Amino acid sequence: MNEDSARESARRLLIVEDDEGLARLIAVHFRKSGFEADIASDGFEALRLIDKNTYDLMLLDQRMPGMTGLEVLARLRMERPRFPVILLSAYSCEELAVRALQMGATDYMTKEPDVQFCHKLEQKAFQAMSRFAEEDAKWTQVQALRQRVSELGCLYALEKLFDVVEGSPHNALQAAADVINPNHEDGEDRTCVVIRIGKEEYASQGAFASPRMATYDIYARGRAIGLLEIRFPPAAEKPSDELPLSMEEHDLMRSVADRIGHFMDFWQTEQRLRESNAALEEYAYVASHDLQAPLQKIESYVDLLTEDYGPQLDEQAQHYLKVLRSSAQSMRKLVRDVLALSRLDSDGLLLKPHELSAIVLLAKDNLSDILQKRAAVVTIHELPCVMGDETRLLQLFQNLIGNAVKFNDSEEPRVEIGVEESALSWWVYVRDNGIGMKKEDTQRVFLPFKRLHGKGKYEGTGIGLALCRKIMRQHGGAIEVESRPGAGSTFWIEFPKDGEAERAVGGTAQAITME
Amino acid sequence: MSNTSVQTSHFLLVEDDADDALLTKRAFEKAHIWNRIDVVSSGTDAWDYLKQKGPYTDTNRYPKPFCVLLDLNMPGMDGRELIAQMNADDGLRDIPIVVISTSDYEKDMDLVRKMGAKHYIIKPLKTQSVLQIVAALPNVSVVLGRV
Repeated sequence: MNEDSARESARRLLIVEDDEGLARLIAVHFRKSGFEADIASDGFEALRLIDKNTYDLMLLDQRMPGMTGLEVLARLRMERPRFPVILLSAYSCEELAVRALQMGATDYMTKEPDVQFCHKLEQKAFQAMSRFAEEDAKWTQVQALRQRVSELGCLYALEKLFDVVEGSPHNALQAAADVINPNHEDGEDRTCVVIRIGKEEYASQGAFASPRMATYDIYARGRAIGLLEIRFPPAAEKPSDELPLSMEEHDLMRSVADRIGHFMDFWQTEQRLRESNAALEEYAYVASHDLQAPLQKIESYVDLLTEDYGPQLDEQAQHYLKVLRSSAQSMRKLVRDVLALSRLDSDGLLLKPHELSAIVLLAKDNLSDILQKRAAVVTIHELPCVMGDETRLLQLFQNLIGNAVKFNDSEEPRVEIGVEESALSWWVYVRDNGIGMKKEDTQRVFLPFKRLHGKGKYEGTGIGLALCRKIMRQHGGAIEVESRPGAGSTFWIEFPKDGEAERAVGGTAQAITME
Repeated sequence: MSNTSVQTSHFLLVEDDADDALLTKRAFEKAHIWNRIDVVSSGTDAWDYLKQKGPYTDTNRYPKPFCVLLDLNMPGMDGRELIAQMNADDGLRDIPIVVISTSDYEKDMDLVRKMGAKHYIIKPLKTQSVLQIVAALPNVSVVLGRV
C-alpha cells in the first residue's frame, strides 16, 4: 500500500456526543475532509458501535447521560481495539484532562462556542492520529518484546529445569509440563499441558481431557519419540473452533517441543555413556583380577618348576620354560597397560599445582634401573609449575623418558627435559639422541597398539604413547613429536598456562643434571 | 638355629585358591620363616577360626593367630567383609592384617588401607615382601630355620 492510497482510504470517525446539534456539526465538517462519521448519542451506543465497526478515531464527550466519557474510556481499556480518542469537555479542567490522558485518551479538548472549533478539532484529530500511530508502533514493539521475554522466560525456566534435575528425566518432564503451560493462571481459557514420551505421560496440574488440543511432535535424533499437547477446554457449541493460540505461542510451543527432544536425546546419550562407563569399570576390575591372576599363576608355577626340577631338565626343556614364562609375563603387561588406558577414562582427574621438576625427578628415580643399565644421562632444565594430576604426569614422564632410552642404540643415551614459553602455554620438551622415526610415523605413533618396530628389537605393548596423548588431552594440552630417523626425537608437551599454578610457587626449580 | 616345633606365634592364611596358598607358604619357607601357617579357604571359615567356633573350638590347637594373611576376592564372605567384622570385634581388632591380593586396583588398596590393614601386597608374594611383613609386625616370635 503506498502513501497516497493510505491517505485516500476513508478514515472512520465515531462521534460520541449527546448534543445532537454539535454532533452533526462535527460530522459534517469531518465528512468534508474525507472521513466517514458515525454518531453515538451515549456511551452504551458507542460501545455497541465499537464492537461492530473498526474506527480510526473517537471524539468522546465527557458529560453525557448514563455513562460519562471517562467511564466509556475505562470500558474501552478492557480488551477493546485500540484507537485514538479525544475527550471533549464543556469546560476547561486540568484535573479532568490529566485523568483522561491517564486512562488512555490520546488528547483532550475544551468545547468552544466558536466557528474555529471544528478546524481546531480537525487539527487535533490529525495530530492525535499521527501520535497514536507512533505510540501504536511502540506499543506493538513492546508487546513483541514482552512476548519474547515470556518466551525466553519459559525456555530459560525449561533450560534450568533440565539442568538441575539429575538422574531420571521423569521429574524434569513432570515439572516442565507445569512450566510451559501457556495459561496456568486461573482464567477463562485455562489450558493444560501433557508431555508424552513413549508410554509415559506427564501432565500439568489440573489436567483434563479434551479433543481440543494443539499437538507438537517431539523428536530425538530425527525420530519422533513423543508428543507435546496443549489442551483447551472443550467448546460446547463449536468443537472445531480454531484454537486460541497466537502465532508466537505456536512457535514457542514448537521450540519447547524441540527443547524437550534435545533434552531426551542428551539424557539418553548420557545414560548410555554412564552404562558404558560402568561396564568399562566392571571390565577393568574383572580384568585386573581374573585376567591377571591366571597369568601370574603361570609365571609363579614356571618358577617353581624351574627351581625344584630345573636340574633334572635338559637345555631344551629349560628353554621351553623360559618361553612360557616370558609369554605369560608379556601378556600380563599387556593386560595391565590396556587397563591403565581404560582407567584414565573412568577415574577422575585430581588437578593441583605441581612443580614439574619434582615429578620429572621422581619419574627418573623410578627408572633408575634401566637408566643405570644403559648408562643414560638425563638432564633436567628449569621447569614450570603446572596444574595437573600427579599420578598421571608421573606416568607421562616415565613413559617419555623410558622411551627415550629404550628406542636408543647410542652408547651413551642422552635425554634432555626443558621448557619453552609461548603466550598461552608452556611447551615442555623431552629430547633424546635415539633412533628417531620417519615423518609419516610422527602421527601414528600415538595410536594404541601402534608399534613401529618388531617386538624382537624393542619390547613393549604399544600403549605407552597412546596413554601419554590421553593424559595430555585430559590436561587440556597436547603432545607432538618432531623427529628424523637417526637424528633423535623431541616430544613436545603443551600445558596451558594457569594463573593458580603460577601463583602457587614463586620460582622455578634449579637445573639438575644426573649422570 | 634349629627347626623347632615349639608352639609359637602362627599365621592364619585366608585364601580360596589352593595354588595361591601353596605359593604364599613357599614364599615364607624361602624367606626361612617357619612359623606355622594355618590355611582356611573362605571368609566364613576364617571367622569361625578366629571366633573359635565350629571345627575350631579346640583353643590349644587353634589359638588366636598373631597375624592374618588375607586374600580380598573370595566367594561368600570376602576379605573386605572379614576386615570389617574383625574391626567391629573387641577381641580381634588388634590382630594385624596383611592383604595379599591379585587386585592392583587403587580403590581396593585405598579401601583396605582406610580399614586399617597393615600391608597390601600384590600377588605373587615375594621373599622380600615376607621379610618386610615380619619385620613390621609387633611382638613376633619368629621361627627361623635352615638359614
